[in-house]
Amino acid sequence: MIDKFRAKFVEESLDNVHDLEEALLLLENDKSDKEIIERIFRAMHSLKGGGAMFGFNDLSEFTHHLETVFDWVRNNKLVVTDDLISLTFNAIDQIKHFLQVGDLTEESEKKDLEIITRKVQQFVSKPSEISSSPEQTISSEVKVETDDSKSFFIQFKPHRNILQNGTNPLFLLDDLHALGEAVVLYNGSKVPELDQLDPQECFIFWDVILNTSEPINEIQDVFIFVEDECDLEITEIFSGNIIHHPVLIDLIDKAKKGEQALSSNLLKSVSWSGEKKAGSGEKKKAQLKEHKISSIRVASTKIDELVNLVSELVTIQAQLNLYAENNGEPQIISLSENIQKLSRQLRDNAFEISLIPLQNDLMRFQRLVRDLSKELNKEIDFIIEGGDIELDKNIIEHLTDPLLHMIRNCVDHGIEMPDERIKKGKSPKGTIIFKAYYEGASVIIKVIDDGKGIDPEFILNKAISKGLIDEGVELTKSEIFDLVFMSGFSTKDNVSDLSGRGVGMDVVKRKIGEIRGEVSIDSEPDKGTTITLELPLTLSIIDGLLVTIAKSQYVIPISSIEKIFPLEIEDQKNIFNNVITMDGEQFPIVELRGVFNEEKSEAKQHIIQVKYENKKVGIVVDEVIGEYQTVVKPLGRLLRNQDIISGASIMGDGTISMVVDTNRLIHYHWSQKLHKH
Amino acid sequence: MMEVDFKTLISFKLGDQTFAFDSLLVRNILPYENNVTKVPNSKDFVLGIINLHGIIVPVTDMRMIMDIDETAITKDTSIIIVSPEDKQESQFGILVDVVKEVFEVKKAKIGPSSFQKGMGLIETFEGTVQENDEFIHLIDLKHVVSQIESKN
Repeated sequence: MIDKFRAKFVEESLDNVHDLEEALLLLENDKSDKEIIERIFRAMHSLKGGGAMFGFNDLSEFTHHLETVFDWVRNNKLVVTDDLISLTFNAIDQIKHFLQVGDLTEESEKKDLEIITRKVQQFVSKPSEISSSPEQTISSEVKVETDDSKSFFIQFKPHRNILQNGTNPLFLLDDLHALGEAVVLYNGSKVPELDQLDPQECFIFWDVILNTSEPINEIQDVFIFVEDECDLEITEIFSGNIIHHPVLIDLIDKAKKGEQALSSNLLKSVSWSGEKKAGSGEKKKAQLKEHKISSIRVASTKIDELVNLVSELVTIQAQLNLYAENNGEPQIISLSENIQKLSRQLRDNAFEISLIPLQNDLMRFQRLVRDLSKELNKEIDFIIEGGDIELDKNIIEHLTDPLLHMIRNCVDHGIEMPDERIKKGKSPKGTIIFKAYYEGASVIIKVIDDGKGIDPEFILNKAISKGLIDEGVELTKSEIFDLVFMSGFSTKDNVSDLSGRGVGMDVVKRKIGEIRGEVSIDSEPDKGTTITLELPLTLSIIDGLLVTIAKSQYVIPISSIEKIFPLEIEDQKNIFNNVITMDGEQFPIVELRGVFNEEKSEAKQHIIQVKYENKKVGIVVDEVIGEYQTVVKPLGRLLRNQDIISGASIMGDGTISMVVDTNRLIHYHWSQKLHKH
Repeated sequence: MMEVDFKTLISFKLGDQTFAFDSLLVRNILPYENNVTKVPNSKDFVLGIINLHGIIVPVTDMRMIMDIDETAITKDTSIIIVSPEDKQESQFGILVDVVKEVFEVKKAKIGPSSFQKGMGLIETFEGTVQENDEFIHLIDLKHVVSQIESKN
């Protein structure tokens, strides 16, 4: 049981650590931001508390020292310096270590801990680095004043007959609560003795103190239907929140005891100022609470299970669809169609749940760039665009290592030393841009640096000298850069002459390939390098087009399809050197029968035009059956090296159709040709 | 301690010879019903894929793996589904001529293989056991898997 709680604590603490790192990176940019310091302090505080509770004693004690430092910082007793930030980063690493192993047992580790603890303590033992920045205190006050809520006093005296037309005064009070924070006081002083009480009449009236940022007419609107059936008084008493003001609480108390009734004059006569701060703080807390409820933590296995179940449902639904179509009973057909609609929505929903934003990973990259550039004495701006892009968590899991590798390459080998950059007429500060965006059903991630770039000539010569390609082969620039991804192209021993770029790129390519993604490089010597990843949004369910080739069924993902053309027998004669003209466009074609080693077809065929990189390519298939929503299942480990077929899907009647990866298909087909000469 | 002394095997025929492997790795035995979907551009020994209760399972032809002449498909031709590792993705089917039986054999009874060299992709056999006047050759499935994967 305790283990379960500990695991939970570790998981939550990792979130805290993550938050801490993020805040620290922000703090590095703006060392006086009070809110960030507060955030850091809070994260440390919960780490400390939780650590002690779940038996991470070393963690708790260590974090206590850190917390003390930041307590000084937030009380302006200590100024944030680069040293402090670096030390805190180290300390965070230490905390991560604690979370992994629990309390330390090894002597060497204990010694390390002692050293870093001492360093942390030194910050607070230094007597005075008292920050004397008056602007900070001012800025914190300014923030409080931005709170634009107002407090109103509302006296609501319904007439005795208000209940007779069905009005429930309590609903009106609920409406008031909906506008903001409210305190409602009921006044029963007019309630008669029991024997004179008519249960159909209302004797009660209410005093309400409401704090809201809505204008006064919103409050009036609440009472719009009972205007003629009540006496209503709405008075603005203060522009700020007084609900938690001690004077008010006192007054309410008195009113409850019947000592002194509340009235607008009385409330107006009180001087409330100076209490805004408390009010706005309260409001912030309230917002924070709401924020917390808006998301829940679910074990990822549960999500996997959900996605699996939905996949099953989609498969079964296809069977139902087939049955309905074959039997033609109208009621079943319409039922099946409705279920299809629902399962499609459910599929999209389940799929969306399994997406997580890239953001979580970006922190690590930021940290990597920061640490590595400090270590190498380089100045680098790391710019992130599109961190809110969401991807399937399985994809993200596969993506982290290749991206880390790419970014490390950029920092290590791409960006030059500041003096070298100045010589080249560039700004001494290098830039790495991490950019993510959606394109159709894919996600594109680009890592762009403005470093020294790669010379295509150099790659070509090296590929020739390594015997990877024949001399004299004409290659386009992008084909040359593709050589970098060939295994055997780059090895450790030529790190220096290729300035390390491209080292391990074959590994990156393979990893990205595992999640059906594509990698490409573009580079300009001395201008920089761009590495582009194109990734599918999801791995499991796709909308596809069902086609046949020599009696076998295949699925082509709809997302890649541009157009479908019929290919009449006489048109086939117009194919010249694998290029065809259709609709006034000329484009290359790939015959699937040829790729799959089937005999040439004698019948009418179809051309499916797909996007490939920035070209349009036609894929020739026998027949097009129709759109099909399919669950892509892996082919099993034995066939994992199957390039063109990315998976298989079970049809409604239990037969199997194979999912074609058009990018791979075309790439494979063309590179086969390339090797032939 | 008893179970350590015994090995449970499943035996099957390829042509005239009888072979066997660890029966604990078997997940299913299906009749061959011509329901295998061919996968384009795969190796010769891969027959294709089948739909096993909603899971896609690749099927290999043991005769191709071992370089044995093909015999005609009969009603006895079967697919043994095995899972060399305890993971769904490692499952695959093996086409054999006849599945014979599951039997227990004392480990002490397993002698060194009477084959001096391998057959097809199989480089070495685990051993040979004599059961009812019949010689049964033991195949190490994990060896087969690693051979197949290296050829893929």
